[in-house]
Amino acid sequence: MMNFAARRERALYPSHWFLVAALFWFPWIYSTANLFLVAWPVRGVVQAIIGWWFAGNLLFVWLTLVGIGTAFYFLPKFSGRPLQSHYLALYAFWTLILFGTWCGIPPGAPVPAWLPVLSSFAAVLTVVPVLAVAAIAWQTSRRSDAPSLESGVTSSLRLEKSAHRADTTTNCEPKGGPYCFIRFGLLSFVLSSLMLIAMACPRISQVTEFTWFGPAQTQLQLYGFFAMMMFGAIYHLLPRVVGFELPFPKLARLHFWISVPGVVLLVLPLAIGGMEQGMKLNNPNIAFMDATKAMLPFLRTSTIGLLLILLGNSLFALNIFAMTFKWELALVKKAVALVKTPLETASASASLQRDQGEVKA
Amino acid sequence: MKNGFWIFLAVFVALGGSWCGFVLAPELQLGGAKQTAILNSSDVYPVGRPGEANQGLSVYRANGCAACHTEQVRQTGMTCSVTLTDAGKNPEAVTNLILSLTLTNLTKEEADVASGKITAAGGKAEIHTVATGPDIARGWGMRQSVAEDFLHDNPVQLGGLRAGPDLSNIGARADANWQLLHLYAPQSVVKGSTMPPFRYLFEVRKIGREPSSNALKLPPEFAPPAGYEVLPKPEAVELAAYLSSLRANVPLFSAPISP
Repeated sequence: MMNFAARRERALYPSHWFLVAALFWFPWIYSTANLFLVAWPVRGVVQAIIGWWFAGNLLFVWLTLVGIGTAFYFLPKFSGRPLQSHYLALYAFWTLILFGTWCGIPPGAPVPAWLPVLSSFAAVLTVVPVLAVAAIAWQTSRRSDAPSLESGVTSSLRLEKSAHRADTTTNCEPKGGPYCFIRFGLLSFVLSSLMLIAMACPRISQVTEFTWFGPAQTQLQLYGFFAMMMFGAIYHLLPRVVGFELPFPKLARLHFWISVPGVVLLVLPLAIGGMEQGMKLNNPNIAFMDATKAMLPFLRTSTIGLLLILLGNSLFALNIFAMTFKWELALVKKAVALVKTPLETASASASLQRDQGEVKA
Repeated sequence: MKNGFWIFLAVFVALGGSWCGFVLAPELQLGGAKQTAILNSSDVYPVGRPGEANQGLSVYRANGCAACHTEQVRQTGMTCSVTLTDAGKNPEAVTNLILSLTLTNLTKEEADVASGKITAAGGKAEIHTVATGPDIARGWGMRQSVAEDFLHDNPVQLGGLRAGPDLSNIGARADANWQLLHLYAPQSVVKGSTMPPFRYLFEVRKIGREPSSNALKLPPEFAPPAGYEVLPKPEAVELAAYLSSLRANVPLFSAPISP
């Protein structure tokens, strides 16, 4: 926060807004939940209300702020076009923190009626930022014609004057690179948010509440959106931070092509099965055991999805560990080289002292 | 970005609004809640749990029961039903009248009309309010769950998934003995149950001089080998006591029913 206030480049980009708000909001919700649920627990059902509020703000608002902030940084970078548009992004930001922060209390909750009503109302209004993000993602990332690409590159150069050099080569990156992670994450964000909003509508909630539809939504949000966004960001940033390429770039692309069917196999059966389970549970003539047993094939399919995700993640871990090892090896080599050449070190420390002297002067 | 301070303030107000709405306001409204009166009765609800059942709440939490079980019943509506309490001096006429009337699934007005007809024929009738909804039709409760039901729970464990049935009124459906059998071997009492057995809450040991009085009476296919018996550990007893204490079935002002 202090760093942010002391920044020299005064201009702000939409991703700054999202990330700074996330930095600010997390301590607030986390401390509230810890104080009122763990340290001095409040009485009765207020615990559940604060729990829903915390979960809603963490899983929907906070993950969205971080994930979409990341996406709004990478979208212009990879597509070679400026964010379409800056104002729409700010609009999404404001509507998200105005409406999204009130989501989370399910319509059937055993609490005073005004709480779920308010929460459902806010959830329906959350359609606005979700559609705004979808519009931005679509407008920014769609395949553009040659002339507009050229102008796009120049504008993206302008856009990133202070941050990094524009990476125009990523336009022709092979399928499955970081850009694919980001785009898949955005698609998952829109879908999972629409699922969340649907679950807040009382009529739909009567079917989906207490079924596997809820876990399907959470998984799509956590893995399909947030984790994929972070994988994309790490695959892109890490090589630039440590200064050399990924040890196994092919495995990174394989990770993407394993994760996508993994997420689909995880979420789709749970969502469809959840709706079926909900309809069966709402019909008291169907025995509870039958409704539960009917879920088993869906649960088995989604376990396959989870295993695929595990496989993909181990590929990711392999890449990252190999990279860390390489980096540390390079550090050790450097240190050894420094020790072996004492003269150079001496001159280096001399120059360092000279620099410090200049600074003091 | 000269107006950075104002933007920060606006963000603060927007986020703080949600905090005031969903943290502060519920606490002000419900944080000081006390026991409420049971409708048509001088008793208050809910009474605190006895010590063993209260310990069982921690066992319920430690074993993650709330991951698959809910403790909240939903209700979609209310209907009225009319019951005859006294046939009066002319039972035949009243019986014939009752056979010609619909007495369940009525609105309040229809119930009033039906009860009026019975009174006119010389009988006496009572109007009952009945909660409706799939959860209630399944026998999971007599009314919807309301905030009052959870006054003494710490932590409140509403649950969000029904991989198993709702438990808000399980104490009225099954006793502690059934709970112990169900925890040790779910399929011994519920055929085809998908609940995992919680064997580690029990101890299988050699029968001493004579069988213990609290050993589980299991059906042969779930029983331990001859000469052994299954004894519940304290945790199992506490959990069974907690489950038996779950009874959300009294009529309240916020959830009126007439049992």
